[in-house]
Amino acid sequence: MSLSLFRKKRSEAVFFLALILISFLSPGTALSEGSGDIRQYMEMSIEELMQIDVESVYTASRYIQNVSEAPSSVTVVTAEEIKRYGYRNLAEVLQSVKGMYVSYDRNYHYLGIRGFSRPGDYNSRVLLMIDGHRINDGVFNTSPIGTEFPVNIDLIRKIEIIRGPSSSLYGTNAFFGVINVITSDGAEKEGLQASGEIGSNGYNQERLSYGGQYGGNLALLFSGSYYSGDGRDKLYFSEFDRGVTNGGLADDIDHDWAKRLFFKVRYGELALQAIYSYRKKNVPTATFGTVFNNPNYNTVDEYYLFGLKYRHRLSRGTDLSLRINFNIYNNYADYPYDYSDKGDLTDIVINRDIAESEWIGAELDLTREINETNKLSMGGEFRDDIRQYQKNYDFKTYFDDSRSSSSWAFYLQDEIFLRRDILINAGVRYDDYGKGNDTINPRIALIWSPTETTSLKLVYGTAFRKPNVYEMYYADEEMTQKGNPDLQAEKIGTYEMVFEQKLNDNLRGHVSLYHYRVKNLIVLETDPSDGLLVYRNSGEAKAKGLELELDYRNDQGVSGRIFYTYQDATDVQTGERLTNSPLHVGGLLLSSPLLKKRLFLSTELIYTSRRKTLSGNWTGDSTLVNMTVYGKGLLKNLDISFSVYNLLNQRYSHPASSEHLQDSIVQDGRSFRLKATYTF
Amino acid sequence: MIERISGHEENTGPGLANLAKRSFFSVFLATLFLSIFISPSAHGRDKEYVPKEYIVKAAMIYKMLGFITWPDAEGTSKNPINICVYGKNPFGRYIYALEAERFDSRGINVRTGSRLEDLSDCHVLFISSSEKDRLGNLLPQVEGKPVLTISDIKDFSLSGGMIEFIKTDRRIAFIINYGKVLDAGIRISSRLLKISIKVYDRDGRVIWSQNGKKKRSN
Repeated sequence: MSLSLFRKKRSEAVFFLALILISFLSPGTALSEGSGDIRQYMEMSIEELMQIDVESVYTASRYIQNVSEAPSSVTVVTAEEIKRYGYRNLAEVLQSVKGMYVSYDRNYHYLGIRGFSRPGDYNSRVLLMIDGHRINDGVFNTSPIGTEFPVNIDLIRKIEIIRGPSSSLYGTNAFFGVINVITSDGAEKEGLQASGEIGSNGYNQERLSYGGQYGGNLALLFSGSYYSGDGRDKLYFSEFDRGVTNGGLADDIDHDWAKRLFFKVRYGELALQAIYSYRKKNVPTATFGTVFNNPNYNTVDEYYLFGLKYRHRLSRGTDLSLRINFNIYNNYADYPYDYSDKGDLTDIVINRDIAESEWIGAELDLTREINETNKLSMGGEFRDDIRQYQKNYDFKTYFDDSRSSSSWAFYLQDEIFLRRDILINAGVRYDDYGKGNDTINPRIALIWSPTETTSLKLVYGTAFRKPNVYEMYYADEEMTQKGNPDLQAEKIGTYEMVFEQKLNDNLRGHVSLYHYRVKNLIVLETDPSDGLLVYRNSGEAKAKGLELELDYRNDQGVSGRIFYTYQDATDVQTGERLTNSPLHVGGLLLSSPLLKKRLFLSTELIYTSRRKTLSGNWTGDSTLVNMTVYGKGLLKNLDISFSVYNLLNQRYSHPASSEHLQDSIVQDGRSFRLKATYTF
Repeated sequence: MIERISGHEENTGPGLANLAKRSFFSVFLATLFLSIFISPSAHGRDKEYVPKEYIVKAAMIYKMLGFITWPDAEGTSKNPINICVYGKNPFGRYIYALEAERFDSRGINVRTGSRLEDLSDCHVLFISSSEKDRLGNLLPQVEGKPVLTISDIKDFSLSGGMIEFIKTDRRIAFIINYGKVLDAGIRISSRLLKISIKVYDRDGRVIWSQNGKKKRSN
């Protein structure tokens, strides 16, 4: 079995190898007119040159390239958009982007991509990076997108969102997409900056940053911030409306706190980054059978991320990049359980979950332009999870599990202009993720740009996600959950067609059609034989979808986009729609200056159709309207913004995962935020 | 269902032969591609990656020549136009493509580096963003001389420079300090002024803005 599997993988690899070899053997002169040729631009008028799209993206190919030449569907969200729309966290940014939606269970935010967001999934099917440094931890492989995200949103320069499989470059977790959060540096954020925010539900956040550039080589940025939110005073859950449980009211236990430190120094080709974050959340939902309305149910997420990056241009036009990083992620959860016998007085015991992860990563990338039309990249990655520790205990220890593992990978990618208007971007990566498990994942994209304004991309790729140690080993002596060490990696195959058209100087159209199929899907289930939760490779899912977008920007500062997503994701075995998968998502975003380029009014409307819950019910559809007035440099160096979220005060809820007694979780009504930022 | 999964697991042990094959395959790949990287390039000149932004900017500099008249043109000079790139060259090899062109039967010379001795010899001086901190030393060297200064350093046009490239959303535009251009004795076509985002006078006041299409006479 495994041998034939290997043969199959090998034939794929040979195919790519052949492709790349052909590209080397083909004569360079016949293909000398690549997109990089300056002559085509010198023939244009200066007005035409001013209309050329130079928006670039790094994450899609691991080097900077034009968005229209990237081998995937790409969205870039800039700091300017974050300010104009008043986004408070990554989750709010992502839900305003086509093909994505978010669920919140009043503890964590979960990202849905292309119709896929399984209850019980800790965002491990998307890779999240900060400046190219992967932060998915070694126990849950989670991507933190809520207030537990380690960097304050004000420090973000831009967010690159890559849809589709990217395991050919990034390995595990790059399953449905990759999100790379690129932070500012001292050269951009010069001086001392103070920011304060207040809002409804006891929301407040303070930040102090200092950035500076010294000479041409040295730039540094420090930042510290503190956030706290009281959350909702009273949350009603009908499932707990049983008299003894406070009439189903969770009273003032929705608090959220976070503190974050950020340090970045760049000296010439060397960059060092150190990030610390601590986030604590009261959990009001009494999951895992804990006592309802108890203020001692908390979770803590803590990150320590250190990264060193060296970039160097070797002679003969070869670029080298080397990264070394060391990371710690700690997750603590306190669960209040009532251990009393029925009828006795309550006997509340705090049961504690510990997950501690430490890992070291090293990456080496080389990129080389073989000739004008051929660009080759290769790289290797090594990751050592030196500590993957999980424990569950109260007066006795139920689970104490310490592990370590290592993985390594090797990838190569080639970008070849077959003709001036036809580009092939092909890549393949071999991953050895320990215990004799390995996988090969290719991606190939054919990009045809008949004119400067049109591009058509055809993409095929596979991706994988290895099971994490939480899914494989977590067990608590048959109280709620048991392990499954036999779990195998999930696999996905995706076909995609992306069509991008510039309709006029200000308007761009985007159409994307895709089909994917997931095999060996790891699903949290209840084993009927013992009633325990367990992760199993029992799922198989497929989806077809359509994404449409019109994007408008003019020189007067007006910008906006309108998008519609159709995503039909089904369970292959039952043929039914996946849970927590809205069939339609639509968005309308518009931002326009009110007063020269100083004051902006930005409005977004996000429509999400009903979603199926675990029990087979449906949550209602929702129309979320957020509005922000943002004043830039109003009084000298003062920026002020005022935002209203859920302006229509829409009542809506998101499907809950199986550790909940609730079928769905109610979301916030109307709320506001006032923010002021002053640069000294 | 559980049986099915554990059934699979029995066979996934690596096996020595399999492991050897895998290792061989990886080593083969690594060797092949390392050799490609280490071997000398097919072309002599550096093939470093240049972002499209700078290829377009190089073409824009070339196009701007058509809107500019230098005082030495009045003596029907046939001397070549000197384009100097001061500091780290962001255009890479693309800037040299301009040397193949001619303008008004004048040739074009391109000079790069940060050891350019006589900057006043340049017709066009592009100052790289690597020289941000040295602007205060550089610009006085060409003050009042017929040197068209261009840069993408932020607020260049308000810091004594003439043409500042800026990126608006996804495109490249520019701001002109017309006062500085006039001071240098350079003539600039009104067509170039009209397509610029903003035109400043000597004192940094806006005399033309694409934004409001407004003009204010001095």
